[in-house]
This record gives sequence, structure tokens and C-alpha cells, in this order.
Amino acid sequence: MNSKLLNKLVSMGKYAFLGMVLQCFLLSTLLASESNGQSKIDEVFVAVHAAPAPLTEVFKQITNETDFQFSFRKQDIKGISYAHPTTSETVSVEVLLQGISKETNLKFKQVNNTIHVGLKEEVPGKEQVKAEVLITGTVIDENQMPIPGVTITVLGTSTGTVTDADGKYSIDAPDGSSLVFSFIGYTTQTIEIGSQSVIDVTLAEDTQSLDEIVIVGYGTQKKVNLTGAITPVKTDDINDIPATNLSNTLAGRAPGVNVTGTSGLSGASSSIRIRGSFGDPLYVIDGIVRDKEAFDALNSNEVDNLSFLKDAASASIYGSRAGNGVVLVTTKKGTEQKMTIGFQTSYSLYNPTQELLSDKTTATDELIYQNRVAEFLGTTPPNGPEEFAYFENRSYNVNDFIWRNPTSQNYILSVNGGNDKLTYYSMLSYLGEKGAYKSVDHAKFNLRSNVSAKITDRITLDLNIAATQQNHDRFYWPFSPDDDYDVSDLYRVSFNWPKVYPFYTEADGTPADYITDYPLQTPMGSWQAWSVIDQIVGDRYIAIKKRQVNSILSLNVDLGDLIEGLSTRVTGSYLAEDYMQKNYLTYQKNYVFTQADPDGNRFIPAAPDPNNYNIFNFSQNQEFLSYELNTAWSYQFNWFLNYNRTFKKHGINAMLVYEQAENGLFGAYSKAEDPVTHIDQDFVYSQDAQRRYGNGFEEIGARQSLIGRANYNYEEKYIAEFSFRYDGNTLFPEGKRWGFFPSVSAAWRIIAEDFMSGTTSWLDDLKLRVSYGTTGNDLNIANKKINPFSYVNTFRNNPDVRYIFGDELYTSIVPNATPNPNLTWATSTTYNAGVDFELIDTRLVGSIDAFYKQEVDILGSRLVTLPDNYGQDLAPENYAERSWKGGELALLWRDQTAGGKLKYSFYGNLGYARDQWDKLDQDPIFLPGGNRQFETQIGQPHERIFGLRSMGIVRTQEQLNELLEAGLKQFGRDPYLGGLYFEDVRGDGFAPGPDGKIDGNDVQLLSNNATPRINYGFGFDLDWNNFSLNAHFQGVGVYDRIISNQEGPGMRQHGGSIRPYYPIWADDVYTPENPNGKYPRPVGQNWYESGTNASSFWIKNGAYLRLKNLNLGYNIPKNFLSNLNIISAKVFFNGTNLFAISEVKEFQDPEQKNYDSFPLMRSFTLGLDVKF
Amino acid sequence: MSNFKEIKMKRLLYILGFIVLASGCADVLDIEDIEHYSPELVWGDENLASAYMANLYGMFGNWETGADRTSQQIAGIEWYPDRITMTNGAYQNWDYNRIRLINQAIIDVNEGTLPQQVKDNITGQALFMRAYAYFNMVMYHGGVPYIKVPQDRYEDDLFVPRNSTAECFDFLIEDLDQAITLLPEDISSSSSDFGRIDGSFAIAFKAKVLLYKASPQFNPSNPFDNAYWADAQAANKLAYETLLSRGYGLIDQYSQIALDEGNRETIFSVINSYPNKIAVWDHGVRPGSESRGPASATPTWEFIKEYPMLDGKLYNDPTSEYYMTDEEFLQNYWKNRDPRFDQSIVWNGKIYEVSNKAGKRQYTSLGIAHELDDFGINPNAGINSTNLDRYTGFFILKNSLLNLSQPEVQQYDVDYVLMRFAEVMLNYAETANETGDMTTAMNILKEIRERAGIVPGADGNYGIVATNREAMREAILAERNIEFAFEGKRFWDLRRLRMLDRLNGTTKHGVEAIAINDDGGEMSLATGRELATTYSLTEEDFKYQVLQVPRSGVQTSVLPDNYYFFPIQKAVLDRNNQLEQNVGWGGTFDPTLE
Repeated sequence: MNSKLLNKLVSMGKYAFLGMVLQCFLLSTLLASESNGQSKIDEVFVAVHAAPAPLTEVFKQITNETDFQFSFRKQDIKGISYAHPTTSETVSVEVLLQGISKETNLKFKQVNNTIHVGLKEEVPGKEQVKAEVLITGTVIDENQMPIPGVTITVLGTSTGTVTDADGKYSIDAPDGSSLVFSFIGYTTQTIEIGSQSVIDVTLAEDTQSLDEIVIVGYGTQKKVNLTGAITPVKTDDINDIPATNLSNTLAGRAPGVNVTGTSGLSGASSSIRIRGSFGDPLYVIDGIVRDKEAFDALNSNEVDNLSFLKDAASASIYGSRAGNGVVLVTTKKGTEQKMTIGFQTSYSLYNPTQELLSDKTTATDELIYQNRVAEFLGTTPPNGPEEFAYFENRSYNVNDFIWRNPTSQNYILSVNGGNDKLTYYSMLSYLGEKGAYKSVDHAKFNLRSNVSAKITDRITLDLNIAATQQNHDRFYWPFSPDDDYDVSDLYRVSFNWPKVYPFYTEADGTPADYITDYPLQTPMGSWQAWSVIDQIVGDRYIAIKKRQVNSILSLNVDLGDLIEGLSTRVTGSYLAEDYMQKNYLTYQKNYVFTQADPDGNRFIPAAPDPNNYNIFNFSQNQEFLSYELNTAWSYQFNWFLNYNRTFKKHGINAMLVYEQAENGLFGAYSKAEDPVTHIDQDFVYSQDAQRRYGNGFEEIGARQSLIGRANYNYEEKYIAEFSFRYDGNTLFPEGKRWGFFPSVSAAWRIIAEDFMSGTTSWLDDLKLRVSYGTTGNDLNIANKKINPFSYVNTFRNNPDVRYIFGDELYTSIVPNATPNPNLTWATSTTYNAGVDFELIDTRLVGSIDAFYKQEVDILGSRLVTLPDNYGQDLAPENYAERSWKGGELALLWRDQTAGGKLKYSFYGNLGYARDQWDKLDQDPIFLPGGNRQFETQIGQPHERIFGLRSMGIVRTQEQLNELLEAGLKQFGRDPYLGGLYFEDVRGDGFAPGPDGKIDGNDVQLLSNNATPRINYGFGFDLDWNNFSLNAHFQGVGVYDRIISNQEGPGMRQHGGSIRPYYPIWADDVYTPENPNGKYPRPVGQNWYESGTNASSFWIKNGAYLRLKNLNLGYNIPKNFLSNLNIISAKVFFNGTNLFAISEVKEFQDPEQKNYDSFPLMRSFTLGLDVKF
Repeated sequence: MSNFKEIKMKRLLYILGFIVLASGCADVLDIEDIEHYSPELVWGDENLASAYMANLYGMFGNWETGADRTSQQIAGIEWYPDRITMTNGAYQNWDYNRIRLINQAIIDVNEGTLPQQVKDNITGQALFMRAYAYFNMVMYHGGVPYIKVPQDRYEDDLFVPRNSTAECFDFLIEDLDQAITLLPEDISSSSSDFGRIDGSFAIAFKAKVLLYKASPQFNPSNPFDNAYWADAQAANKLAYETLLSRGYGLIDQYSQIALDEGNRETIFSVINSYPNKIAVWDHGVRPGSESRGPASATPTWEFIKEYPMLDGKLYNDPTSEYYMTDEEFLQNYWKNRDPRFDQSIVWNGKIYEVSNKAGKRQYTSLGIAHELDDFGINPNAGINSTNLDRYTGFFILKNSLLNLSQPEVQQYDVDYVLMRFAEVMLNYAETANETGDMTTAMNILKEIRERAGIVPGADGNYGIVATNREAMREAILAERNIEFAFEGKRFWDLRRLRMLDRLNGTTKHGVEAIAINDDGGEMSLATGRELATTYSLTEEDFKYQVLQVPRSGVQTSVLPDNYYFFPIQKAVLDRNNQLEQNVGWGGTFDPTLE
């Protein structure tokens, strides 16, 4: 008998024909959920007697004392007596009937005020063999206060309930089973039922979450015994975010982890940087070293745990490549429970976070721009009233043809269950995106099957198989890389294309706002334009398919029979990856725009001349079809020896691992040119060998490691850990190949000391951590992997030189850099100190970390000792040094109110990091005494902003005269009205002192904060009844952003005399009539003084705060679901990037890569999550 | 049962462990290098040795449409103020990476196992390349460290000072002399080795080097009477005669000097062949309507004026049969010109059968021409040409492959002629003149002009009036200007002769064409457009006016005297404290031979 169900049925019975069903013992599964308020049957109380009484008497009493009537067959209750087990004076009718039902073969059913009495039906099957008993009780805390919302489950099943507002519960449980009482912040209790029918429980507050387990490198660790800086991310928080790539969900989720997404194009991902480092962290998925792509390919729903290992003591267990931190992921496994099927689906709509640049200008803006440039050049303004009138209600926008607001749909199906022998978790998901441009599509399929089998008591076997496929489809475009998600080139043509010419006309020249047979070539004045529209929707494309299959087989053997606490594990992983890319190119044919009346309004098109057209060849000398196919494989083998034992007060957790991995790749590329007709299949292409190209390539690699760790704790009060990794790397010569990277760390749980006993009223936990760790690294000073075999003299092909003798093309070869036989590891050392604390009945939880990281022996090319006449690059040497320092803070406040109905938590995190070079070869001019000492890297962060210091815009004639009289020349040019002018600080050779000329010698340091120094995130979770609301804010600070185009810093005037190109040149610019304009004057030139290149004029405060994610969920009440056999159902709304605050928004989204790269998207998602 | 299973599993585990230990012992880290050649292979295998040399040949460059932007031939102000500084990297020629590769080849090939004849040939090529590379460095900067052996990073003193300019010339000549003895005498264009350096090229190049050595650039105080002229004369005479004896000579058609690949005039060329090796020419010189984008190099009005008339005299030479005033000339500049003009230049209204378009005439007139071809500010058009900063109203025709259709302009693959016999002749003419042999100089000029198609005139002098050494010097210089149009030689000739003042302060211009009716009144653009579609407008249907280009930005060339030797970049000096900066750039090193 389940009180919750009863309650719901009763409340329903008041309205519905279904009435009330009292159906004891028959329901075997029910998922925990909140109690749903009072209902009549348990509002009505009757007095009970301890002495046995015939049921007829009991019914009579109820009939007399309440409004209820009974309907029954006499033979069913004949001879049955009932004595209520408790001695309380009154009980509710509900409880009374439950008691009767439990002791007898009777069931009860209410229809309105009539209670029908019937016999229980015998249900065949084993479940019936075990008698079930009704257990009731109250759950209170140590202060005797009832705790609502406590989850009670029958151990080993999914049967469960939750306590009501008064802490009361009732549950049916098989005789002899155990109940598990759990509630966040309290120690979970398991109680065997025995003969009791009332179980009152006092839950102890779990002030230290003593048993919380955190995943660490090569294993797990009780949180209490952690000594390093590890930040777990709650994966529940990211499950509802409709992200293409996992990394896109993580911004602001962990302090010290900077996640930046620079583009909103379908399929784009975000970069992850830990503690200000410059390289990708290491990605480890289920113990296997993988890459960012594999991480991004994960569906957030299959992720069980996600942790960032930030300090070397935590990360160093991964040795090489862990210098930039580690992102550790474990995927979900099956749990011992009845099969539960989960289904999630969502639909998302996207739109740009900022107005699209193409929508910011009109044809009229273009006319004005042309006149302004003409005015500057001193020529006649080309546009008069006729032109302005013509375009008053007319403007041609490329986006009208090619843009669509993106959408995506997401389906996830999972199955989870098992028994004590076998558990399984399977997931299948599909994410389909329709991107911003009509030919951009992305689809992602994920499959995971994770099965664990207990072969014997001591041996278990896990098989974890994951497969993903991603399909990317997009328009053909050769001028940016195929996986470029900034598509800046395409995005640019969508807004910079002239808006005064139609894209299509009818045969007679009438402009058409739909696609016709007459695409017009837009007159650009600077090159042979093409049809941007046909570029997107025309007959050519790039199709990419990526597949990964990863199988991990693990065998765990408990060797406790040999030595107690000893176990071993063997894990083998095999990863297969495929990459397929098909490029299909056809040329475009566009009709040359001709004026209907060359003497009149030049914008009115004439009928297209069939003989006057242009072929746009996309810079390809032939039409072609190409395929690239790569197939890669790798294995990783691990052998673990684990020892985990507690001797009285001493806890030991030790591990030794052997790891070996190899990888390889085969790739081939084929290209066929010159088709006989336009079909995107190879057979139509020329059979001439000169028109068919192919090449192949291979890669191989290997690594080998020995890893060890020992963690010792005394009473979980003093904790010490030592770990090491002994790593072999093929990039280094034999003898220099192996690196030993030790780490030590310790923690002191001050709270456990006797002298802290006085603080227990407010302080729940306090732990100090310190760590020292080393890791190895095979990257050079530019954070690139060094070339293999840099330690021996080798020759390579030089693709830059193609040379023909006679009629034969010769291969050209060139030696590699002067080898360095002493090549070895760079080593980074991190010192970390941290405090973890919990205060005020664990309401406030937090941690503070400070770190100092030093990297030495970084591989770089020496400069100082090498004059140019040496004539060869040197292989990198281990010499450079750099360091980072910073800290992190994370706080969480959680509480509940309104009798537990409203639960809420606030959290915040903040990370600060700054890097600097400590040792780096530089040209002498940068050294003390050199003229460019101000640019020295030593003691300075890697990324800084250099440029001219702008003195502002020349706004008045007096100002201009003054500058002209002073003879100021800027890059050889005289200053002009509306142009920028700059501070003259140096002469040629960077000689100090002004020389009357502004040029590259006048560059100054403009900012040291070219990357954000501070990253932060904060938010809240609210739970009220069936509603949940989660908001997540994220931002950066101490950041100087220089407004840039894809060519570099500053704003260019690419449009010459005919188009604004960038909308700001049609915005609040300087003109003689508007001398206070915000931006420099449009002159149609990419001059420094017209806005091009780095100057302080374009530096803005890059700090931003944005509402990264907002999630509103509603759990559909159980009473709507139970008849459908649904355990739970949630509908949710999710919004991302809903708003942002930043000075940069004047130009672009604060996260966007450049002013002219593809913008970020805001998303709105509606979803449904069902379990049954 | 369970126990039995356990035993089985444990056995399995032991077997697995054994396999792993066994395979782990075989060192998985010893991977094979699958992407490199081992150095031992290179100098024992003729194919690889050839591949090594092929890489070095990249030094000879390829077609460059804007090469003559440095002179008055092509529009664009290359010499804006402070074009060259010690820090901006401009006009730096400091390619010691290539020098090292060359030096390495000379040593390694002789230590290898190739047949002696192959060794000699490779050594000869490498020595030539070393001289060629150092010559360019010396020509830019004066004497440089003449490294002849690849330096050992640990053993050698790397901080080498500059050799004097004289020493460098000596080393150069020594290298060239040795190369001449080792190289095959001559490689014919039908040979599978065509494109490699041969003795003929080496002899011709040596002659050029000695011409430079004698030139005023290196001898400012005694520009034309220094002793080096005699050496130069000897070498150039030898080159001229030797090559002549080997069958070199002018071809008949000036227009075919490059298009007829491997002709007898070609001394050395870089072979292009689509699709294996292509070059940029048509893509850079064609009018935008027949290319992928606007032309990047267009001839100036200044250069148009420098072409002689058909009688070999300038238009403003009163003795010319075709004398015109400036204004007359502007309206009739295409008439009665040196035939090389017609073979090198495209102008408004000219028949220009590009992309195989029969009868096509090219227009540049604003409002009539394609927007990527037009040039002008005719107010009737309602808008200025967008090409005012880069166009002149003229285009380059020389060396263009007209049969390429518009989408094919990037398939240009004519062999790049680095040196042709006409240059050997004119070099010889110059040394002859400076050593008192005006007759030889005159004969060579006449030969050049005869081939060009200039009429000999009554005196048979093809319009050349040069009665003294100075006048002959000017005549040769003027002939080089026209004969080598767009070949990138003009600026270097002026610099060699210390005549950069002729460029200093100059401006450049283009010519706008405006269509007119028979009565001289301006034609309606609609009519003009209509007539243009059938190519019915000829040169005569336009009037012409001169416009300065570029229209905005710096418009005047500035060439200070210190450009006769370019500076060593400060960063280079900083990395080697033994290097001195040139006089004129704040240093003490005298880059001349004095």
C-alpha cells in the first residue's frame, strides 16, 4: 500500500469517474516523488481500539463517525476481526483501511463516498510469493524537525516514495527487505524492515559528505581524502542544453576553466583552457586518452561524471600532455534496478545575439557612402535625388535568399537496469541541426552500450561500446578551411555585398526577389563578383562524415583472497575513427549587370545579354570532385594493481598501472577534374590521367608509461598522497625519451581535530590542501607539438618549390632543422594550496585555491647565439621558461524554506590567471638597452596588444592646420579631416624621441590584458513544487579587446568608393557636416589613419556578463502519469545567450571572434523528458 | 561452480599478462620514421640529389607582373617616403638559408658515391647558384659575409664580419669561373635537362656581374672611367661571341620572345607547364572583365610616351617624321609607334582578341567599358571609376596568353625568361661604349631596333642619334627601357647608373578616354555602350585627357641617395655584433669598391 498513490487517487475521486482505488500489494514499482498534499480519506479520523473487533463493527463505526459508506458481500468479511496495531487514539480512515488490508485478503475501492470492499485477486508470478508489508513512519532530523522530501526506496528496486511536508511516509515493501532513506546533505540510512510496520528515522546531517566519491586520474577517491584541485561539474545541469558539442555547455561551470565559443554556426565548438594555459587540456574518457573532438562528440546525457583536474598533483598522473590540465569524463553505467527507459526530446530555435550586419545598412546608406567618399576625393558626388528616390523603398539583401534562423531537434533514448549479476546502460541519440545558411546542416548520432557482468563474487567484466557519427554539410567555399566555423569570408559577403543591384532579374531585366534563370553579377568595382546566393544554394557542396567507435573491455579481479584489499584490473581499448570528405565544385555563370540607361539612373538593370556573362571558377582551374578518406586506429592497454584497505585508523589506497598505446592512420585523397556533365559522381569526370590526382598518407605513434599512486590517511584527518608517472615519448631520442614526473600532496582536515569541537555550531568542515606536482610536456613555445625525429638529420619534401626540367616535374627536397640530439621533456611544476569549507549547517560550501605554475625546459629555437649567416633553423632546444599564477574561488549556498517546498541554491565561481615568460630568447633590440625593450616578453604575458596610440580624430580645420604646420606625416601621408592621428614617440630603428613621422617605429604597448584574466560564473537553482528554475550567468573581466577584422586589429575600409562594407562606415562617422561623429571618416582606403590596424582607438573593455543559460522545468504530477505507466515526465524550456552586457556589443557579440566573423546564436528550446 | 569459473578467469588473466609483458618488452616506442628521407640516401642517389637541387632552383623566381612598379613603367607609388628603413624589412636580401643549402650540396655531393660527372655537374650548378645568390646580396647591400662552408653550430665562430665588396666580387667571379668549367657547355631546349644551369648562362651571367662591378653604383667617384670597365668589356664580348657561336641570337618576332618557348634567344628560363607549375601573368595584367579581378599592373602614360615612333625617334623630337605637340600626341598616341608598342600595350579602342574573342576591341572609357576595365571621372557617367587608384587606361599585352578564356586565366604557364640574348647584347653594347667602342654599341642597338620593326631611316641608324659616349649611354638606357618593358630591369638599371634622381620626385599618370561624336561633341553613353557591344568604336571615336594616378594617398616618388645601397636590417645587426651598417644608414661600412 502506498500512501502517495492513495492520496492522489482520493483527490481524483472527488471529480472523476475513476473514483478511488485502494489497491494494495499490487503495485510493485513507483518512483519517488513528492507527496501531493492532504486528501479527504486521510483527513478523516476515527478512534480505534486496541482490542480485536469484527470488521462489521469497524465498518459500522466508520459509517457512523464519517460520511463514508461501505458496500460489501457478507461472506467476504465473515469472521474477520481486526485490531489496530498502534495505540494512538485516532487514526485516519486511510491508515485504518491500510492496516486491515495488510492483515486480510481484502481490498478497498472508493467511489464518491462509498467504499467498495472486495477480495484481492491472486496474481501469478514470483512477486506474489514474497508478502509485502506496509511500512509507515516519520523522518526527522537531529533537531526533531520533520524533513519533507526524503527519498525512501526499497533496496535493490526502484520502488520508492518521499516524505510529505510533515516528514511522514508510507511504503509497501517486501517482507525482509531494507529501506534506504536518503536526502541531500544528510547521511543515507538503510534499515532492515524486520517485524516493524512503523519505522521512524532520524537522519544525521552529513556535514562532510564523507562518502562522496570523486573521479580522479585512474580511479576514484573519496572526496574527503582529496588533496588536489579538482572541480567536478554537475552533469544534470547541462543535460537540457541543446548543444552541438559538449564543450559549448561548460562556460562558467568551473572556476579557472575558460570556455569560449566564438561562432554560432551549426557544428561549432568552444575552446577549453584551464588556468590561463595556452593549449588544449588532455581529454580522458572512461580512462582512455582521447581528443577534443571525441569529447565534443559526447552527448551530455551519456556523461556520468565530468571533472577538471587543475593542479599538477591531480593531473600529473597523466604525465605528458597533462601540462594544460585534464578533463576527465566517465560515462553512465547500468544500475541495479528494474529496467527504466528514458526518452528526451527537444526542439530549439536560434537567432543571432546581435543584429546581423547585413540588416544594418540599406541601399540608401550605400548611396550616402559613395557621396561621402567622392567628397573626400574631391570628385562629384555620384548620387542625386533621382538615385535616392529610386532606393527610397528598395534595398537588395543577400540574406533574404540564403539566411534561415537555425533550428535543431534532439532525441535521446536510454535504457538502464539490471540485477546483481548484470547491469546495463544503453543510449541512442540523434541531434539534427539546420544551420543558419540554407545549405548548412549538421547531424550527430551517438550510441553507447555499457554492460557490467559479475562473473563471480570476485570477478567482474565491463564492456563499454560507444559509437558516434557526425555529418556536416555545407556550401563549397575554397577561401577558408573546410572546418572553419567562423566562415568569416562567407559571412562577410552576406553583409558587404552591394545592396543597390538586384541578384536576379527576369529575362526583360525586371528585378526579381526570387531565383530566376538570370543571376546578375553584382558590379563590385574591385573584382569579378559571383552570386553569393548560388554559392549557398547552387549545385556544389562539401560533405563531411566523421565516425568513431570505441570499445573498452575491462576485467576486474578482486585478489582479496590473496591479500586483503588487493585487486587488479586489465583494460583494453580499441578506437577506430573514420573521416570522409567529399568536395563537389561546379562553376557559376552570372550575367554582367548592364544599365538600362547609361545616361540616367545607373542602377536600373537592362535585360541580361546572353552573350555577356562571367564564369566564376572559385579560383579553381577545373571543375572537380574530390574525396578524402582517413581511417585511424589506436589502442590503449592498461594493467592496474590496486590496494585499498583500512587498518583501524590508517587508510591506504595505492595503485600501480602499466599503460601502453599505439596509433596509426591511413589516408587517401583523390581528385577528378573536368566533368563531361554536372553529376556529383566520379564516373562523369575526365578519364585523362592528367585530370586525376591522388595521394596517400600515414601516421604512426606510440607511448608507454608506468604510473603509481599511494594515498594514506590517518582517521581521514591527515591525508598524504604521492604519485608518479614514468613516461616514454617517441618524439625524443633514446636515452632522453623517458621522463619521471613525481607529485606529492597533503591535506589536513582541521575540523576533525579535537580543538575544533567548539566550532561545530557553525563550522561543518574545514580542510587545508597543499600540493606539489610535476608534469611533462612535448610542446614548443608556440604550444605546438614538435616535429617527430627532430633529433636526427632528415630531409623532407618541400611542397613550396615545384620545378620542372625538360618536361618533367621534379620532387624537391630540403633538410629539416639542425637536429638536436638532446631533445627531451619540458617540465611544468605546479604548487597549489587550497581550503575547502562548509559552514552554517552545510548551507554554505566553498573552496579557495591559489596556484603557481612554472614550466621549464620548454622547447624553443635559440636566437641569441645564432646570427643569420648560420643559415638554418635549429631544432628546438629545451630552454625556455614561463610561469602562471592565479587562484580560484567557488561558493555554494543552499537552503530550503516554506516547509521544504522551496529549495534553492546559489553558486558562484571565479578564476584568475596570469602568465608570463621568465626565460625566452629575444633579439637584442628587445633586451635592456635595446630600443624595443618595451616589447620584451620577459616578465610579461604572452598575448599583449601593441599598436599606435591614437590621439583621436582630426575634427577641426585649426587642428588640421596645426598638424600640417608641424609637418606630421603618417606613413608618408598628410593628416586629413576626419582621420585618426597618432602619437609620435620614436624614429627609425625605434630610436627614442619623435621624428615627425608616424610609422611602425611608433608602436607602443597598449595593453597587457589581451586575454581575459578573470573568468567567472554564477547562478541559482530553485525548486518549488513541480517547478524548477535554473539560471547560469557567465562572464570575463580584466580584458582589453581590440576590435578586429579577420585581417587583424582595427577596422578596414575595404569598400573603396562604392560600398560601406562594414556597417560602421555608414553609422555615426565623421563627415564635415558631422564633425563629432564617433568613427573615422569614410575615405575608402585601408590606411592606418582611416582605421586599419592596431591603435588604441579600437580598444574596448572586453569584460562581459551574460545570461548563458536559463532553464525552467516542470515535472508533470504523478497522478496524470501513473495510468500510463510513466514514472516521471518533465517538460522544460531552455534559453541560452539570452542577454549580455558589454562595451564590445557596440560592434559585436562579446564572445565573437572578430567584428566580421559569424555571430553567436541565442537559443530557445522546448523539451520533454520522460522515464518509464 | 563459481570457484571453477574463478580459476578459469585467473588463468586467462595470467595468459593476458604474459602476452602484454612479452609485447611490452619489444619496445613500442621505436617507431619508424615514415615521412622523411634519411640523409645517407640523398647523396648516393641521383634522383634524390636532383631533387635536392630542384629545391634550390626556386631561387630563380617566376613571372612578376608588378616588377616594374619600381620604375615609371607601371602605375603605383612604390617609393613612398621611407619605403626602406632599417627596421621594416623592405628590400632586404639576406638569404643565408639558401647559401647554406648550396654550400652543403657542394660538400656533400663530393663526399657521396655518385659518378664523377654527376658530381661535377651538381657542383657546377651549386657554385653558380652561390654566385648568383651572393651577387644579388652584394647588389642590394654591398659586401656581405661570404660564407663558403656550412658552419658548424658548435665548432665554428658564427659571428662572421662582412667581406668587403671587392672581396665578394672576387669570390663571385671565382665561383662562376669554376662553375663554367664544371657545367655542361650548353643545354638545348629539346634536352630533358632544359631548365638547368649551363655554361652559356654562366658565361652570360658573369658578364652581367662584371658590368655591375664597373657601374657607377660601385664606383661613385669614378663612374665611367674606372678600370673595371675593361674587365667587363672583355667578359661581355666573350659572352656575346661565345653564345652567338652556340646558336643564340634574336628571334624575328619581338612579340614571341617568351611565348615561343625555348627559342634561340632564351638563355635561361624557368619552365612552367599547367597543371604542374603555373605562374601569374594574365591574371595580373588583363583587364578585369577578362580576368578574375582587376589588373594589378598597368602601364603609365609616362611609359607610353617613352616608346619611340616608328622612325625610332620620340614624338616630341622635332627631327622625327612623326613629330607632334604634347596635345596632338595625347589625341593620337597610338599612331605610328615603334611596333613593340603595339606588341606590349593595350589601349582604349585597340583590337584585343583576348579569350579568343574575334574582333574584340578593348575599352576603358568610363560609362562604356566594363566596370573592371574603366578609368576616368567623366561626370556624365554619374560615378567615378573605382579604378582611379590602380588603373591608367592602359593594360599590358606583352607575354600574355590571349587564348586562355576568362575562367582559365590562372592556367598561365609560359616559361619565365630570366635571361635572353637581347640582354647579353645590350650589356655588351654598354661595356663597349664605355670602353670607347661606340661602333659595336651602335650596331647592337641597330640590330635590336631592326628586330623591333623600326624603320631604318635614310641614314640606316633606326633613328638613333648618338655622337658621343654620353649620348650613346642614354640611347642604350632608353633602348633597355623599351626592349625590357615590364621585365623588372628599369629601376635596377637606373640604380646601377646612379640615376635614381630620374625617379625621385616623379609622379605617374593615366589617360581617360571619353567617347565623342563626329562633331567632337561628347557622345551619349547609351549610344557609346550600344556601339561598344559590336566593337564599333575605334580610338578615333574618343577624346583623351590625362589624370594623375593614384588619385589618393601618396602620389610622388621619393628616392633618397642612400638607396644606392640598402641597409642591413637592424635585427640582423643585432644578432651578429661583427656586422657593420652601411655608410648612409648610420654605419661605417663602405659598400662601394672605393
